[in-house]
Amino acid sequence: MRTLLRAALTAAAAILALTLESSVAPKLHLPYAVPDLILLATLALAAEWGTSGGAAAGFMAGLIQDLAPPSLSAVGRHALVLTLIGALAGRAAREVRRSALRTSVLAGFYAALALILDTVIGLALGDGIGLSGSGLLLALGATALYTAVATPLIVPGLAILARRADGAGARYLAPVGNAVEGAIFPGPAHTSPGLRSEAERV
Amino acid sequence: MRDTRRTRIVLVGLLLAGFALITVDAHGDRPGSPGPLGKVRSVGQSVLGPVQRAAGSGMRGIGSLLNGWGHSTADQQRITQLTAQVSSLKTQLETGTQDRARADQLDKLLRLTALGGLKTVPAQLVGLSPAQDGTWSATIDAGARDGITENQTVITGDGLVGRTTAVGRYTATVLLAVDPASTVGVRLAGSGTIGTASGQDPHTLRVEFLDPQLKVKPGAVVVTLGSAGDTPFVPGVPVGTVRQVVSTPGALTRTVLVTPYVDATSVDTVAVVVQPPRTDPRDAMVPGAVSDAQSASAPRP
Repeated sequence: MRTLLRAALTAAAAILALTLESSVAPKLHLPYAVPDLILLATLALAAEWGTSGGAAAGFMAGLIQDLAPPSLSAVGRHALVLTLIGALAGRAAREVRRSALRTSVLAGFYAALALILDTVIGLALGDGIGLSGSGLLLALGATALYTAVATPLIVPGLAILARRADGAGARYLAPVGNAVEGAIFPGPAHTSPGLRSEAERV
Repeated sequence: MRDTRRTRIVLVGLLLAGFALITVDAHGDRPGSPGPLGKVRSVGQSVLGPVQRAAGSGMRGIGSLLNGWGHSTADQQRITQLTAQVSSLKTQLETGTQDRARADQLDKLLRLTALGGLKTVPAQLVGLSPAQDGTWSATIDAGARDGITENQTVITGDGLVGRTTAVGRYTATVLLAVDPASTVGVRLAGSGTIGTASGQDPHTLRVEFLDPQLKVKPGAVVVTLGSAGDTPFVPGVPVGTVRQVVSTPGALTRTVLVTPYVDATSVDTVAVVVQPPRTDPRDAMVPGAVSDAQSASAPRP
């Protein structure tokens, strides 16, 4: 049941983010890049659901991005990138304390990382890099900046929904962004099972 | 410990699934050619296309609301009219006096052939791929239902946009001519020297003419050569003007940078050529094809 709810929420969030990214964001005529909203959706879900949950959400969101128009890249390319990003974000969820700024900076960092991963996969597939060297650097900076700026608009609200999807009794890792209300319970009883072992190990 | 192990298994499983998908679907030949997962993609197109269509029409509503702020409908119409006039005057100016004279002579003939045979379907651009991905593709709100199939030429009143690739029921994906992986056969208007154009950046095409001794000046017009069987590209559609001749001593081709007539990143209304002109593509090589191009790209009444 929980898996089903999570899958439904991931699909809905990914489709909404994709629509915003491909239909609305280009109308803003931002230079060099558009904000990576699907990545932001993945980050919000991963921050609540931990490493494996984040990886699964990233995989699903990436697959939707690969299959939806106007994507023409090989199916699985974005899925692979977002799986890694989702896992990383789920792992680092504890780092995201109640600071909206830190969340934004992390999101920008992940957006740049995702672009680098995508470029590496493109090179490995022999598709080449669509952008020139300087173009790639500009795109890296631009996507990191726009994604960081768009973070407060997407992440806190979706994080609340992600927690709701897990039910009332669900434990959560850490609140994301200032806009998320909710007390942090420092006791081990309120950290997710996925991260408890790590906490104990440290 | 068990949880970490489970996490690892999930992660590795998903990554392997991703790799497997890419391996199955990757096709190095050319973008847009349907891979083994083309069926799945067209399902995705059919399911997710309408969402983008709705978003696109929503955006147009908001856009016209903002644009219309302070303008009456009459003003809007006048602006549209004048923009179209400027566009057509620009085309006339750029194609030159000689070509225009030739155009007048062949106009009657061409009307019977090229113009008579060219049928287009209008469409709106509703989605654009992220700029940072380095690929340039767009979604249009017309699909198989409107008679669009794969590998058809997409144009605007100004010139070439690209070609259709994946086609769903309500939407279709267009590979833009400025995509680095897109290759268009082109011809220098007037002289008939042929070459290939591929995307360099969103506002530049790199054209390699097969004549290394070619003398070409900035401002010269480049038109499509036309593919065999008129798919994916019909002949005679204006592509752009030469901006710069790249110095490549000893090379077997003459490389020039071309500014496309169409800025694909801000284009709104396009037309898909669903029926090519009834001319033999080989005949498009004869002089006078510029007027052919003009008539082919002129907006349909």
